[in-house]
Amino acid sequence: MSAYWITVLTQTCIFAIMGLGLNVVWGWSGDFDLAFYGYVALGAYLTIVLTVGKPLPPIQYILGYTLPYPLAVAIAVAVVTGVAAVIGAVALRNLRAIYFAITTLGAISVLYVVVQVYTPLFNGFNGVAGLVTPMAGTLGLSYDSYGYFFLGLCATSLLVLAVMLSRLSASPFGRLLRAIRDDEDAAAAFGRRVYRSKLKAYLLSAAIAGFAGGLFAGFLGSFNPTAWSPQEVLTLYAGVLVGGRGNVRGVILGIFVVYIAFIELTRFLPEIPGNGAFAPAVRQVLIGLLIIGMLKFRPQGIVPEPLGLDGPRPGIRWRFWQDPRTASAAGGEP
Amino acid sequence: MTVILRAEALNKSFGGVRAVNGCSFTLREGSVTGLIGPNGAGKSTAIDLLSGFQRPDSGSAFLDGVPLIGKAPHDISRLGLIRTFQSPREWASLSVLDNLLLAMREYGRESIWRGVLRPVREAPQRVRAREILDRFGLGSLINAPAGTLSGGQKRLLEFARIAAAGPRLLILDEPMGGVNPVLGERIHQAIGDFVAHGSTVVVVEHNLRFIEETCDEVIVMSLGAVIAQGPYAALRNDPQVVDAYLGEVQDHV
Amino acid sequence: METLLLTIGFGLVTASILALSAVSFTLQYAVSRVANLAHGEFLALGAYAAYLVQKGTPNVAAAALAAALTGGVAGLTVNFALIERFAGRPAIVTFIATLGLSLVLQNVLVVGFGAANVAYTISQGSPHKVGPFQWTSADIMVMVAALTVVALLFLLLRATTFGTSLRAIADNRELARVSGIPVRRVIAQTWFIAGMVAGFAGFVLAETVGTFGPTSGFSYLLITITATVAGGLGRPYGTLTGALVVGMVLELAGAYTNSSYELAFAFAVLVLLVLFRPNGLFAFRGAPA
Repeated sequence: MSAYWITVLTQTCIFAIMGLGLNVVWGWSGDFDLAFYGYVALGAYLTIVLTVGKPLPPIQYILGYTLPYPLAVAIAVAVVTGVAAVIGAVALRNLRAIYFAITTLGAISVLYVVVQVYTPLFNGFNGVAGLVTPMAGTLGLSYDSYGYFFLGLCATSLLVLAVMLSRLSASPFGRLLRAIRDDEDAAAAFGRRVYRSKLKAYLLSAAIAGFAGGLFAGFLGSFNPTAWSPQEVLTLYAGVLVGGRGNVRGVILGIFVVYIAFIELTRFLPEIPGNGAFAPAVRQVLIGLLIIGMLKFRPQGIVPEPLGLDGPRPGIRWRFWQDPRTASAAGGEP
Repeated sequence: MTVILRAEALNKSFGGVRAVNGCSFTLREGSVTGLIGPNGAGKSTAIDLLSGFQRPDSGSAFLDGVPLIGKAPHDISRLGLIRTFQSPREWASLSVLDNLLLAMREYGRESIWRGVLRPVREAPQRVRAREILDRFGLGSLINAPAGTLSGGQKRLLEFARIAAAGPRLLILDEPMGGVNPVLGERIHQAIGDFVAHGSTVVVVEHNLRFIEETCDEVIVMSLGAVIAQGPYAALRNDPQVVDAYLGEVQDHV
Repeated sequence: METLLLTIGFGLVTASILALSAVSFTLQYAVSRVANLAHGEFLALGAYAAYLVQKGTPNVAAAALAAALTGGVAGLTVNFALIERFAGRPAIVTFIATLGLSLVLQNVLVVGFGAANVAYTISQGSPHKVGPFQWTSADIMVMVAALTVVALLFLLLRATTFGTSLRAIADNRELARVSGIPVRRVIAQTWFIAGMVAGFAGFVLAETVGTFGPTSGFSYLLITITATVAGGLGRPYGTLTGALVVGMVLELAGAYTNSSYELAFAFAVLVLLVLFRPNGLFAFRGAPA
């Protein structure tokens, strides 16, 4: 396999993991959480500053330890979940739909600004770097084989997570989340703790985001604000929307379609002299149109989940792509 | 003749409007009580106050001696008080079966860890759910998404859910809205079954004939307060009650 | 004390621009019940239109006019191409669609003008003291313009049939429809007017700051939303006050700390509002204005 494809596949696996995390809060819980990518970013930043050691001036950032990569990722996940607990506690208490979306939009906007302006945190605009081929030393990997190793790591993580989340989807917890999404007053009338359940889902999604961030940091080796600009964020949401929210396998499919197809598509765009941002901008225009188009014509995604248990399945019958024994569906509005 | 529910001097205002005004009453265990009154009498608000969906400005309420005011809706539900809403509130994307499984109010299986580590079987619950659905004539729809049911089927599903939940105190908010006589008879039976299984029932209704046939006694509300409580037969000619209802009477045949 | 008064003076200028943007946003919400996340791009399109005109002529009025017209056309187009296409869907769906649209428009601007900021060269004039405040002639013109536009808007709302129809639709669309009001047409006209105001706001913002980029509109969106929520979504009078309050808070915060944290302060205000006063600072139990 060429180095190019190893890179593309590794990256897409990482985005698929992000997609699965976003699916927990947006697909199952039904909350349009715009702060999600902020958790990814935080996970990436923390992983790096926990592994690359003290900063050399004029570079500045907090922490600066040289912990082993797996430990750094674990700590990053824990911290990110803690931050999410605070934001979630505020946003989920009484806010729904638009107000929730606006609040989370505000949260990630603030985080974005603070990280850029307050340099002592994560070195501002320039970001942090230096995480080169984590674990290569301990595992005795050569430069050539490292690519395969990291791809394997990401793909395995994706697989394990997908299996776990599929089970969760079909479990009473998954059923509960969807019931709350469909009618939370009825859920409360039958004794369900709406706020607590939503918060649990929110924390789970943030933890997955943090983990993906850790992998992303290992993949990129560095992290700065352009890695989590609004365009990057919306590409992820488009991927989840295209695949089929609420459906674990559908989301993975959607991410692969959007990221690989789009990467390939925009490779063939012409370079415009003087406007280096042309190709990426066109890609973003397409992403935006994709989001609008999907919402208008196929909000349930390419692979809508089966409604009910063995009930009639709308759209394409793609048995492999539909979650097993799924107790419920998300074949409706975001 | 134990008292299962006691409401004392409940008050609730919205802006300048007094929706519930010194509302007090008691309910006997095992009874079927109608809660009637003209539109705007405060019946739905009173239900919201009792079930925790609204907080009263003042007043108290006790279920089996346990104070209700200040508790969240899910806590009150866990004490055994189940209420319905004016329209059937099924969980539309879940199957009929799942609607029932959720209604069974067994919360221990819903943790994330259990969901991931050991797939949950729920066999005895499924058997019981199937049984209940057959009783309500919804057996063939067991796997259908609840959102695809007809209006009448959704009503039946609601009652199936209640049967699954086995409430201590059931408050029905206008269960007969838009219901045909055959379905109405089925609902009447269902209420009887609930009582036979140990529930106490309160029915908010405008359909006075239904009230007459189903309820042991009625509580009459007007302008936010209880103006009379007693057997329907005795109250229907009570001048106060008639007065409150002037122009509001709806006698469904 | 001196600094405080100066800051208040600047706050009034900030609030004026914010008022324009926020009133436009709130009008859109009032008639369509949609929080339009592409609103910032109305400002951006207006700013860029003014930029193009200014490359040809130094005539400020021409630039302002171009900005307003571009904004108006943009508003009309967005209403037709997007809002109406999503009629009947839950508000959150249209909300996400406008987010997608924002992405599209921002990047169309990048394709057209490049990613870097463009410069606006209106001379600010030297600052002079007006009472305890210190304003340039440009500042004063901004405030006067903002006041005039807002006054005209309110005149429109109060004293014309159009305004009455608009308020009726904002209150209860179905009732307005069966009362014989040409709902679809009035909504389109509202979006045109709101777009014009937004385009003009973009022009004013660009002139005041001196530069503008493809993402500047979106950045201004969060502050706009904060001001609108402060005043109560969909309530024009409240929005004005909201803009004043938020504009002041931002200036004061920026004066006493690093002004790059403007967005952070806006968000803090927004969160507090949404938590404790989602119906606006002046919420009374009653129908929206």
